[in-house]
Amino acid sequence: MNMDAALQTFFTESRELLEDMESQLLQLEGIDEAQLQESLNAVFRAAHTIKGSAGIFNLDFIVAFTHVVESVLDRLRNQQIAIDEALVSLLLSCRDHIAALVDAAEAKEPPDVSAGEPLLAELQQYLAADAQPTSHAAATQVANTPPPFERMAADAVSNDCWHISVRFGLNSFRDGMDPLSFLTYLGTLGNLVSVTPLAEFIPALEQYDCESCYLGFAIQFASQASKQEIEDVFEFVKEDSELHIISPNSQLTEYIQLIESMPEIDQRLGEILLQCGALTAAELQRALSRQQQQQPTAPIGEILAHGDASLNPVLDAALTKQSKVRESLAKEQKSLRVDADKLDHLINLVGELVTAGAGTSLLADSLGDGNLCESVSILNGLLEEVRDAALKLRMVPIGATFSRFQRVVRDIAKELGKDIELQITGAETELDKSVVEKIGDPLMHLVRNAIDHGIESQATRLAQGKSERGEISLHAYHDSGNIVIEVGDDGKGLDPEVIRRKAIEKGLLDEQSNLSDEELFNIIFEPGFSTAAQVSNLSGRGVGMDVVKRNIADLRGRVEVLSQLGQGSTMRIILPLTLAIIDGFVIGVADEQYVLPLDTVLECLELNSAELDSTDEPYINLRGQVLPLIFLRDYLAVRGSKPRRQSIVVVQSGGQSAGIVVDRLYGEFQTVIKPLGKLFSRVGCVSGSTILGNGTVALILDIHGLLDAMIAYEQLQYRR
Amino acid sequence: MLTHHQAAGIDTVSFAGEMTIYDIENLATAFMPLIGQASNLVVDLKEVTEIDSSGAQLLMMARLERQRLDKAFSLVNHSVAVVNLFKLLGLLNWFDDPVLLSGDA
Repeated sequence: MNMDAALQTFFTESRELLEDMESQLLQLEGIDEAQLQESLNAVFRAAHTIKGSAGIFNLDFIVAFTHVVESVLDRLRNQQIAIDEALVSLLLSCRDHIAALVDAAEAKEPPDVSAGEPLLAELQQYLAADAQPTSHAAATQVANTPPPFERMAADAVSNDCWHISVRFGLNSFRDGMDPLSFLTYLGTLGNLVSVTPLAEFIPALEQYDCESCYLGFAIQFASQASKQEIEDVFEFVKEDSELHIISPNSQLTEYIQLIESMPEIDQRLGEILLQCGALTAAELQRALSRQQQQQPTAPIGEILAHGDASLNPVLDAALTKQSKVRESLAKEQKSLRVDADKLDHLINLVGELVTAGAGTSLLADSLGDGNLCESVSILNGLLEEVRDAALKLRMVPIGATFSRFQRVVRDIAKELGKDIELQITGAETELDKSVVEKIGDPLMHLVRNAIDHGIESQATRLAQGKSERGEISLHAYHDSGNIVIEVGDDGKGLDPEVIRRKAIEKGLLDEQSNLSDEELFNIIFEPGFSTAAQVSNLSGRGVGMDVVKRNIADLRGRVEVLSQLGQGSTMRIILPLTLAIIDGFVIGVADEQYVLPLDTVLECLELNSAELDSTDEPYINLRGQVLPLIFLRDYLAVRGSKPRRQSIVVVQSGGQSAGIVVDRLYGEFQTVIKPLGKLFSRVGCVSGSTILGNGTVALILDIHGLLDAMIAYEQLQYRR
Repeated sequence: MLTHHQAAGIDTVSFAGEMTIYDIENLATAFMPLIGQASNLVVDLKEVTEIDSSGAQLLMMARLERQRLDKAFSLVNHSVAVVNLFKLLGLLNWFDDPVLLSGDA
């Protein structure tokens, strides 16, 4: 195996484990006993696996540090010490240090071991027998002694098969259990690399009972199955039989135990292990000499007890580790790392393909050849699937980004002396990888703001009759072709009056101006605006919200602010689902064609002009609901003759519906979004352009922008 | 079923039909006395249609016993059923008799 590739896998895997470790650690406080144990086990396993793997690559500085962490975790797990907030913080710092060590190892830089020393000193306090803080001198003394870890790699047996040693019970045949069927069944779980019969138990002729079973087998078994699954194979004969299962690459001691457990044939068993390939000659030699060094007087019963299923915790941990490693290997084989550039290239090509496909289908339609049309329609169906599959390649759940904030919230809340809980919902919502990458920073700003400005101090909260513990929520969901991410808090909310005063003070607002609350809230996104009386090191400097807005605008998204004074506020980020291709709905006004995102289209109606003429207010009655109308011809100032009949496209965005009056409906069209130049960035109602099948350019209308513009226009009229 | 005939100082035992736990007692009763007596014992497995672990174990015991007595013992004409079982139980190496498939295989 290529060591470099393996090392790379180690780095990736370590990072995943460290992330897992972090999220588990953050859960530790305030969960019940059973879950606590589970989480502690998970943390322990993570540390243990990192240590073990680091050992393989001779990254001794990682092993040495992680070993101490692991020892503390082990004590925690065995309930020798209790978990408290200080310890969680310490373990989190240790996790960070391990991460730093892993990073250093990857960058091939000398690791900053000294940074770990204060941590080690603190950890040692938990390791002292009475768990009392020891003097600093004692701690450093411990640090100077060679680290008390064992290198696992040195004594592991280089054999990646399970070794199963089974001796069937005397009555197996009489009970209708043929060893044959167990071996056959075992064969279905994996590959029987070798089967060696153990004939040593067959008695001489005089004592031989033809209906008794004296058989035993030593089996080398290559399989992904867990120990439990293998044990289950022998479930029916478990009672009378002797079964030893040694996992792949086990410690030599396990083989020693196996050899000891069958004292009457121990030499022979060693040979069998050799013969079936479980051990190499050198390993066997080491095992036998080790066996002799050990106390020969240990009672047989005790030795036997070592061999049976009641494995001690360390072995248990080792086994779990191995099954974990196997699982992750299996998982790895299922996924493939691909260069992001290649993926982008693919998406670009698919975009071109979609445009070309649309052109072809237009051509086929105009030729009117039935066979051609049919084959083109099949082609387009496939094209659509290819497009969706290609776009899905880039989709990742937002959960990983969200869970990073657990730590942020915890750390900042602690720093500010607030008690804050982070609620995450919709973590499985998927969005484009490039969006996920870019959304991290804006989210971080918003979360920090919510903690710092939003959530009040505990005393204030109690005085206002709120629960002592503040709540920050991260919520993601899909909404008609958009992804919505909300950062909410149940804090004090935004005060429109304060914002107004500050804005006037900063010269951002005219004293006479009369703005709605929503408009006032939007002022917080202006550069240099801050309502915080005090500048903290977290926020309040007035840089941030404008950056948030710009970052989100770069992603073709927008931010909304919802706030109730005293109840809390919610920042709502609305992002397009993908950055490249959407399902569009083509409409026509005069000679121009426009594209609406299909997800926003609810239905199409015929415009009954008689109904309209009766009133000059542009709305219709749609099944009892008032549906405001937007005459696209007027709004976009398109010239050209009106057709006899017009249609209404009912669209919805952000909970508002409207009817767009157009001349013609052209139907669905796969739209490759081409960005418009900077010049058009202030045009609210157009989000991009696309090339239609016949080569003409069509503008993509941004429904939300369109609706907003109409509402603003209406309000302006109303005020006059 | 078991037949035994003696020629030129060689005792040939032919098993036929099933060598399974259901018949093993009859087979063993007939076969076991021969293990000690015969000077050169050849077991013909050509007609064995079915064999299970108990049958295999009987042959293993015979082989061990003959070794103890330092007398010749060989298995010949392994039938397909025998070969399959021996393969699965790792017995082909254990009995190191040459295996030739009987019949037209």
